[in-house]
Amino acid sequence: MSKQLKLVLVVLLAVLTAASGVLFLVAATAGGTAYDPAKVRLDVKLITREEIVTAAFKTYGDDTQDMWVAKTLIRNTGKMPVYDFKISYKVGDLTDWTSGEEYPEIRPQQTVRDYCWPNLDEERIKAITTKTPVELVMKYEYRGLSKPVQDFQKLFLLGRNDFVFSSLPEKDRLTFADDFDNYRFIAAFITPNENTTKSFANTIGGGLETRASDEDALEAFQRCFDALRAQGVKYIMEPEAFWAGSAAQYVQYPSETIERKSGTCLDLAVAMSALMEAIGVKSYVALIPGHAIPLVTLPESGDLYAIESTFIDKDYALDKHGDAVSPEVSSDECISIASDEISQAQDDGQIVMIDPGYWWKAGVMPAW
Amino acid sequence: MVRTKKKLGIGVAISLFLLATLLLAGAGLAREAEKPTINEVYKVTINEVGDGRIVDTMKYGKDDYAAIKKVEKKNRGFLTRRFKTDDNTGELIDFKTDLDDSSHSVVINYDKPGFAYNNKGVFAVYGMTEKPKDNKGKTFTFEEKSTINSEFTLFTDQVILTKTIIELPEAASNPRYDAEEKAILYDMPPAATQLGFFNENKCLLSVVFGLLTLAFAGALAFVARRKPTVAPEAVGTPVTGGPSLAAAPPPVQPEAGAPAGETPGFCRKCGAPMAEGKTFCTKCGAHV
Repeated sequence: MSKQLKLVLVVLLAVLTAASGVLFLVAATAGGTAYDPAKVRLDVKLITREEIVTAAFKTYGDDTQDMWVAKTLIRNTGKMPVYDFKISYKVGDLTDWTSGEEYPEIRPQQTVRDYCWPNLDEERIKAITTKTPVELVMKYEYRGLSKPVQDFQKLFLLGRNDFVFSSLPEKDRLTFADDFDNYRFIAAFITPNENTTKSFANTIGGGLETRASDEDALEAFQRCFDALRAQGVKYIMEPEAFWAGSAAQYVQYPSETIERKSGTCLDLAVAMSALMEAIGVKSYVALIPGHAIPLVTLPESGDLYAIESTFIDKDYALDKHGDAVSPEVSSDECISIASDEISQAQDDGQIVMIDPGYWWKAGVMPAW
Repeated sequence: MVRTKKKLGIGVAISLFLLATLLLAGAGLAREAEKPTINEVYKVTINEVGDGRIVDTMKYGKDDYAAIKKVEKKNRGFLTRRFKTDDNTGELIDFKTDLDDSSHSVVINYDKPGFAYNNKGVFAVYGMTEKPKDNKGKTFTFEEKSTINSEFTLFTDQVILTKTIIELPEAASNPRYDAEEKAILYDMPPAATQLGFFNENKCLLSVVFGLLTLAFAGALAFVARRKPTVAPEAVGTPVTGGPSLAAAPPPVQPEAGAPAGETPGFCRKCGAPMAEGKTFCTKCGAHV
């Protein structure tokens, strides 16, 4: 070995020795301890909704809404970071495992909030006619864990016609709006594109420029009232508990009201709203104390018109409100009566207006 | 304003309709102006691990504030009832409400763990649907106008003007708004006690670098102890077991210019230095 070669080798090896020595020291003295999955400390809490409004099941799959089915709070309570945390959910036989969220790193003392917005199987959902329990399963895993951890919770799917007015406990309901805490879900019962509703609406809107003319839109509103009366639709008085809010109430879809020829005030308001939407007239459903009333907005002026839809049932109107109506119980009279009711409710501050178009866009889409 | 419709004579109907329209439009406007308006400041201060400290201040008109205060006095849970569930499950911590008479405000304080999400050191605050109105360093300000049916006030129809202020942690860097993600993004280095890759692979790296250090140090010692040698000019005699004679290199001739019969400076067999004039190597005995 020549002197030059030796010198080169000595310098090179000295540099390598020093470098690897430094790296050894860095590795050996790195903060905390080496990653050890056995030392991971996670507090994982699964929270589920008690009830799912089946009629609005699509809403629960929309991650832009606050309508999650379940959420999980994952808190790293230890000193060890957690890597490659994966979590997914399954709702009975109504979904496969959700695609699952991945969190590459959960640092010590960090909390992650994970939400479950499942795509529920439409065919299976349609078959749910009464309140049905279902088991939600959550599973998670992370780097170094030998097998996924699972947790379970039971929740209930309401029947397809069931609606709960408020999810707030009765003692916490202090304002009028509190009684209708779930009012947005009413939009899911308003089904303008359903076949029976559509074909019934076509018989009303024929020859009218409902999207462009105030006069025609108002004419259609009155024709709708008259057509339901001609169909023989009767008003069914709700039991007092109907508006109580805590228990699920039965709400009909418009096609059911048309076919069964009867409905509560809410059913009739929902049916008229759907029929008007089907022919291009913007509608609302107003909830006032113990009652529901359909309204329309005229396309040119934007004026609002309401109608007392329970008076579709002429016998009921004459029997219970004979002093307030003429023997014909005309649609004009019913518009006037409803206008007074709405004005009174507005003055009392006791009205909740449901704008179905707004809520459809916001994700509360009709299921059927 | 909801309208009524009655079938009257055309002239009378038109006159009444116009009058009614004017009256009702006026009433409608009056009603619009009466709508309670809330000026809300929703301030979030985020810490190093993404938890949010929230101070939500809602300022009401004098009369509306008085109505709220009256109800709160009668029903102690009025302001907190819509937060109870989240409070019970631990999604909110240290939830407190306060009524500030001087500013007619309801003030709500709480911590929300996991307000920002961590994606390999890039933290994200989601839900920012509009571009920020203002961005000064690590503070983002958003403004929004909304109408809503009663949340936790007494009013079923109200206008809320909301200013949202998001303050990022001191150690955050590269703060930006991502319109596609509808989120504020920022980089957040791991805490000082962690060293990322080294901490994560501490055991393996300690062993690998330890062994490498030993190997290099051993090699260094070996090389350093070797004496530098001068290569022999020629090697003519094969050693036992070495390559065959046929394969052996040809004998090296004396250097050009060296006088014939003179001994070379080194033994041709073993390379030991030879004194001038010697014909036998004093080390190996070879004849030169």
